[in-house]
Amino acid sequence: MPARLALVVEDSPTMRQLIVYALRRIPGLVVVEASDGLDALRKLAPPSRFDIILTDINMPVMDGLKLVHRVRNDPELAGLPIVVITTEGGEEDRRRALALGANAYITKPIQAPQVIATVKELLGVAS
Amino acid sequence: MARRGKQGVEELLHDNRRLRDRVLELEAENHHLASLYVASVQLHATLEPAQVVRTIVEILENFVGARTFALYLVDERAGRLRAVAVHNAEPALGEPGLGEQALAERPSYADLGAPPLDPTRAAPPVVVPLRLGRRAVGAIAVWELLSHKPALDDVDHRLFDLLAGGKPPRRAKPVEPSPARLRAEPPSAAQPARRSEFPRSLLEAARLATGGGGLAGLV
Repeated sequence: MPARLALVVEDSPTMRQLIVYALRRIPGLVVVEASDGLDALRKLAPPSRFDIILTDINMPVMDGLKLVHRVRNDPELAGLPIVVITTEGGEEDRRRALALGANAYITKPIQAPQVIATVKELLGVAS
Repeated sequence: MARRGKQGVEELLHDNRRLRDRVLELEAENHHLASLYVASVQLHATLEPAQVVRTIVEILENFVGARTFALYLVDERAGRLRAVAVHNAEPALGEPGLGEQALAERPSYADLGAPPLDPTRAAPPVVVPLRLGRRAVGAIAVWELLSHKPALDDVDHRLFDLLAGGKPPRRAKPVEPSPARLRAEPPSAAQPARRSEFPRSLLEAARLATGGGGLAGLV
């Protein structure tokens, strides 16, 4: 698979590292990390060309819902696949994220095979 | 000839299924090892006790999938367990069994099945003593897992071992303070950690503090 770029947006370094480790199992996928929504928007700015975003919902500075909204309303980024990572009891957040245009969701505690399968599917990569 | 060909295809399909199952097993094991590695690195990545507590809470919530839990440290000077982090509920205040379990050599794992327990009344089904050698320095108590997590699995026990500071020594002896003196205190009693004693982990924090006359300065 040609090199692809993923952005992982998560304020918890522990959780972020676990997601990065899971994504490293996908050949050709380069992972960039952001600690909140605002940090993510900075990294998404041109000339960056990301292929997918995985974002937590509850974060300081700018949460995942605002990030999804901003991405979907930016003509340059609107087509980017977005995976939201939610906690149990986050059904309302999940529903709102999907309504705002997120493509998929994963519930914590995450399982690497599920993360990999979801990202591969959204990137159109054969398993 | 045709029968042999059909048999060969069936064998190949069987091998294919077996290999696919094996790949799935290895993927799961790889995820477990990554969880342990990330947890270990993050636990030892900071000298700040408050950050260590935050990391433990993140591991319990995001890796183990615990929903209702508390983290206690032993306050030797006061002879009690002091909650430094509580998630989703007030812990069982004054629960006598918790002190005994916190001083035990090994974690206790009871059934975490439904319906969820009331943390204000029920003893925690899972108690993981945090030890430094033979010395009890605290405990993790878990009352409930997330609803989509039916039970603890092997990697959860390994994560608890990691958080507990490794396996206890074979000939561990009872430690002070005595179980009878230990009782749980609410998190509101906890004081901010002193920045002058920054250890590499919670257990090292306890070691530094006890070397200087007890854990009270940390919790």
